[in-house]
Amino acid sequence: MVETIAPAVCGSRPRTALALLLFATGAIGVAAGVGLLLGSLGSPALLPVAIALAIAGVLREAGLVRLPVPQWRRQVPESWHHALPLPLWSLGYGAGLGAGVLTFQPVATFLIVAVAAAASGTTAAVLALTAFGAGRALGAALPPAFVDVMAALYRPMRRTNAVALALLALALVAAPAGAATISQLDPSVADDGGVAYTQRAPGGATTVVVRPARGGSIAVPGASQPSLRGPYLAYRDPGGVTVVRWRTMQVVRRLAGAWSKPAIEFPYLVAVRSFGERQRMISIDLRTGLQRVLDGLTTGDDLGRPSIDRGQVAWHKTTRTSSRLMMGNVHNGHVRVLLLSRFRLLTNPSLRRGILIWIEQTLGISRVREQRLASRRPSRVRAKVRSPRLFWTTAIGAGKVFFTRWNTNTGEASIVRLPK
Amino acid sequence: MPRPDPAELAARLAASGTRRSFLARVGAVVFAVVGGKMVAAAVAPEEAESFHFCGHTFTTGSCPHPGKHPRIDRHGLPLRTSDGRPIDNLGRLIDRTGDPIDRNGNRLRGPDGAPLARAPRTRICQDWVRERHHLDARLQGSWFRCCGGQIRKLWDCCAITKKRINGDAALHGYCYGRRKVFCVTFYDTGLPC
Repeated sequence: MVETIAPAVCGSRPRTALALLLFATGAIGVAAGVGLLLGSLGSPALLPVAIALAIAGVLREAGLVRLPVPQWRRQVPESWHHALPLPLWSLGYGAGLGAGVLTFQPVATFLIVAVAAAASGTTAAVLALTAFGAGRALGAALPPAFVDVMAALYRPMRRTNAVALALLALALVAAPAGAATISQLDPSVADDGGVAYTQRAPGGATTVVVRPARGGSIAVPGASQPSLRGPYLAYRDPGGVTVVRWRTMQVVRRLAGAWSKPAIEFPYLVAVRSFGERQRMISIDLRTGLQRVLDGLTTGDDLGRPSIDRGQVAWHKTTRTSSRLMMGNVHNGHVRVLLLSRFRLLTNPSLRRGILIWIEQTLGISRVREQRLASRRPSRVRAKVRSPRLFWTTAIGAGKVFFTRWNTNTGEASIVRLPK
Repeated sequence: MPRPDPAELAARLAASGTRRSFLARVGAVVFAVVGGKMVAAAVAPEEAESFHFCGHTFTTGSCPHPGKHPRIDRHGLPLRTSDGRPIDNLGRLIDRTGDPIDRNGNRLRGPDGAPLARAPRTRICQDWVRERHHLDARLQGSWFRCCGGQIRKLWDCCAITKKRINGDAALHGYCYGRRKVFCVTFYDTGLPC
């Protein structure tokens, strides 16, 4: 392989450089793709397997036990560089080696790292496998003489490999999968572009983070489910729901008790109040204290996070027989059904300037949908993922659409931003 | 004139119930009266040959379903294909109250750490097909085969339509009146065969 990407085979130095570039592209691209696949399909449940494999790998590479490595004992097809044009064979060689499992494996490291990556979440898996692909590319870029020296050092390299695998095993034992991941969810966006969201640590501790449009950051420890609008921030905390002026953290109103899922558009606050299994969607005029019940459920079904804009509130209501997107008016209490489905799950709508976005789930697919309320045109899909990934909460404003993307295998959640 | 033995009649009707939807209806009534064990005797002991799932040898496609194959309970609600446990419309296992659970029976939790809310669980034929394909669909004619050691009821989802779920011409099959087979489902009865 190393001798193939050389002027003698490629014909000239520029063609050698092109072959090397395409080889590296193939190796890194395919390796990153394998990492993405592993991370998406993997689960923290694989962590004990990864640790056991790493320990077995240490013993094997140290020469203490003889263990077979599952592999395809072949090399890249030599005929390609005779039969195919240079861009194709160089890209193909890189892709084949970047996949890791299509060629001979002298050491067990790749497979162990692949399993560890699958146990560690998507980001870690992509990074680990991309580094593997870059290593493959480096092997082709280095002078052949250097590779010869490396081949002569096969035994010391295996011992080094054993040490590396031992460090990997220790790292996996010390840091449970996903423990390093801090999730971000429940976005809320102000008209000026300021954003608030919930940050959730692996232990479950939550913090509301406000990132004003002008820069900087404000944290509210112990809080979650933020709603940001103008100078006001509403959030849930252990005592109920609190409304503050976020620049000074001066408390405007505190609702003690089983209140959750606040949405603020001063002077109106909309939130869900639980009475055991029963839930009520209630709007409150913060100036007068007048409360108006917009919706309710009498069983353990779900009233979702509301979104308020120009006096109109959107929320979801899920029962055992249907899923609905609702809209209510805080001024007169009128409520209507925007969308109803008996087989899809419609959740977490957000409303701003006549545009509604929401999450639709069905048959293993999660979609972000967008609809202009005044338009008769059908809704359009803004984003789509397949299980085990799902979309969660949404926000719209300041010319952008935000939503939470969640991996049900790893528990990782992050916020995605799209232009409106 | 000698009166036929009820068990024998049930067996005969179940075995031949695929010929006419009328006979299928009568067979179902007698089936309910004299019990499924009698019917078991009428079903061949070998595993029925499958086309796209066991027992289904015809070409009409499966009804939309959150699982692998269109397994339903006697009310038409979705069940997990592999073990018959109830699932919601998203394909998640659920407990008696309808809350989503994992394989160990623990409540599933969302990214915020709170238990996930219920999703709807609705009838595959009457609700799913109605909404997805805008058809007034109903579970009608059925026939029985032996699958996995138990009697499987293969159940047609029928609608007044010229096209079936495959996109080509729908067949009359075992549907009643003007209805034709839009898609197929099945219900594992639990009766040995």
